[in-house]
Amino acid sequence: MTAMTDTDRRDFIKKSAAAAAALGISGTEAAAHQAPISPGATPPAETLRAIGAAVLPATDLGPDGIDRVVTGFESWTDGFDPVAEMPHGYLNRGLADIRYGPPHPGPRWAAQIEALELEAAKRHQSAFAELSIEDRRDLIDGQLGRDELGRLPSPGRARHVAVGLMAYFYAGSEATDLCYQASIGRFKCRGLATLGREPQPLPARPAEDA
Amino acid sequence: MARSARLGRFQRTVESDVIIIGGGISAAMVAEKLAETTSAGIVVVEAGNRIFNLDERFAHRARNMAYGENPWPDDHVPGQTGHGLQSRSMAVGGQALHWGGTTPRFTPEDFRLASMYGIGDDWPFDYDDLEPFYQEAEERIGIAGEQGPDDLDLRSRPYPMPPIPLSYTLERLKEWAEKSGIPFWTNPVAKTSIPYRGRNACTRCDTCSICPTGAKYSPDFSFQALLEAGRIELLERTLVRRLVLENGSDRIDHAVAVNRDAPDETLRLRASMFVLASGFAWSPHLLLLSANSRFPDGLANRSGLVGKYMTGHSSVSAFAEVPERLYPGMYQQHSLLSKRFQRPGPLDRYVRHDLRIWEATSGRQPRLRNDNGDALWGDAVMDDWRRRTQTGAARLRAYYDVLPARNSELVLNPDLTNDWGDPMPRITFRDAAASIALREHTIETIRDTLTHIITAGGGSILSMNDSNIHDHPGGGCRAGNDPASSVVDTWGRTHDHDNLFVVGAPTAVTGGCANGTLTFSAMSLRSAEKIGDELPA
Repeated sequence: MTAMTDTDRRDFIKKSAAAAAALGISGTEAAAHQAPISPGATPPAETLRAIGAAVLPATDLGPDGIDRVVTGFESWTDGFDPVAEMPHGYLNRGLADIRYGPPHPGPRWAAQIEALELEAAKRHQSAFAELSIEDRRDLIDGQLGRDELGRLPSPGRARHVAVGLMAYFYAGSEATDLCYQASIGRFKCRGLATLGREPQPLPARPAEDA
Repeated sequence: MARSARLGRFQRTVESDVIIIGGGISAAMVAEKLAETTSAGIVVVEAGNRIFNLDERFAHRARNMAYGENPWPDDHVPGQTGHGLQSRSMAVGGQALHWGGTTPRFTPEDFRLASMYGIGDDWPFDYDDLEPFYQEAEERIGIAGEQGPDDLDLRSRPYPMPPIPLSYTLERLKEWAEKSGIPFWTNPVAKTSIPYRGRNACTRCDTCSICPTGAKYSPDFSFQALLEAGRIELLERTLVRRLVLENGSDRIDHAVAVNRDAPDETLRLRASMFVLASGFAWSPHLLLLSANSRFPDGLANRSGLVGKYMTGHSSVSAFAEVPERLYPGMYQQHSLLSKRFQRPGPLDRYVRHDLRIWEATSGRQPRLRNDNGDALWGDAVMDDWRRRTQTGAARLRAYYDVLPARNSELVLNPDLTNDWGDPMPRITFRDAAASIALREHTIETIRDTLTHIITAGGGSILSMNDSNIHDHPGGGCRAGNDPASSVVDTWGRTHDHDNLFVVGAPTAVTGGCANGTLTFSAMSLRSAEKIGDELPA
């Protein structure tokens, strides 16, 4: 067999830990957790948080929740493996070929963030994070092609960083629970005991986060 | 770059009583049974990698969920591909490494289409012949299931495990669907509802294509146990390129193989019995590759039917709005089943199909633009999503059987060769004239049934579509009693070669109208019983 080398294995475990952390997976599921890797392609943190505040559901998440989601997205971006092998096609009509994923979106997203800062300075003589939520959305909207707003793509295939951030959040278990206001725990290893019961309502968010 | 297409001189010979070519679920069933019932030396040869990585599966699952990456990296053999394959997966464990684990049985009608309905061909054995092997397969694999209505769900003994419980959402969907008067019950699965033979109970991670806990059966578990018990030798990364006859005999003398780690070294694998367990594509492919002067069209191919009658089933699907609040994500892999239309009784015009229902999120996913085309940001995305999830959704799907044409076929494609210069397969599925004539009637009948279920429950149709894919493919070495119209006999023994069996999917006569893996496994165990009779006790 093609056994993983020790280096391969360490790299895989680190990347997997980043993925697990980004997904909010804990306990045994993240037994391999290590410090996140540094890819050198992470979008600037302050601007990304300002984007998060403009595009994520602030009422449900609160400032701490937005910060947590953005941190998870940074971790997710750190762990991205460009042109990774994707699952095989099923029931191939043509040639059954190996599929590979997209290139690293980080550099493109970093350039977009830089452009948001430049445009904020030119239009408003302000840092992006100092703009009102509506002004931030206007600038983001101006960068987006019309076809980018619709069904959410997978995060790695999002052309714009704001869409990538939203796609990352809405792909997660937390978003589903917030939508349904119920502890569904999608994709969490939950056991079978409570399977037949209606999911419990979400606990109320602490007042200070509201 | 292609290496020499010549087979080269043998650098190493491996000898055994039986050589099993392939490392998927059919091979696992045969190896397990022979290991238990005989003292034979057993060698399993698999072209792909050995992926015994249960301790890494949470990590692979995390990568798959976060980035969509293949949770089974390196589960393929570079260059070993073709047109019309089910999947590129090729590894110890086969495609059942990442299967969904759905394990319905076929019904008696599937084996008697000609006798009962005057279409297609009967199999050389019937449901009653296979029933004990269904039970054996369910026990070896570990199936959790619920006994359905006795007239629809024929069994001689209970499932080895109680069913995976229905989720709250599936309970609601069952009540909703049964307003149509059609009974539904829990789909049987190769997952543990309780601890079973060393596997822990399912923890509902809901990523069954990469089960991180091992609750879902995959054949690597069987091979690992057999290796630990010292009952098999496993040659992974070893590609069998030809089967070669004894001088002056139609018996197989040896297989010619190449170790992918020593690609210029040619292996000779000798045994008194050969079992071809390489699935619907690679089994007929190897027989065709093994053509020689006495069998110029390929081994086991005096009938000319190797690679013919490739089969599977097609489907009609619907998404429905369900008029109550549901919670998708509770266990999206789990489903409801009905065999009501697999056992229809006498018919004026033939149509048979299965029925499955799953939770769904159709039309209920978050979006960034509303129906008016307005961009949604921040709270507006969540508000829009919440508004659209006040009612639920369901997915309904019916597999219907299609009868294969003779020229539904796998051929060698000289324009596509692997690293050793061997032509790769090209598969073209074609339906028999009888199926083509029935297609419109079949689709209309199923659409009416799905519409009835949806509307009886007060729901509405979101979408409905037909697919003429051939899912759960089989055939290519069809079984039969007549050597002129089949490749193998009722036990899977090739008509032309006394010591060569083909097992599992390739021997299927038709594709049935339900997932085929359990049936292929049961057929493999039935073959193993006969194979075992001819090996040292």
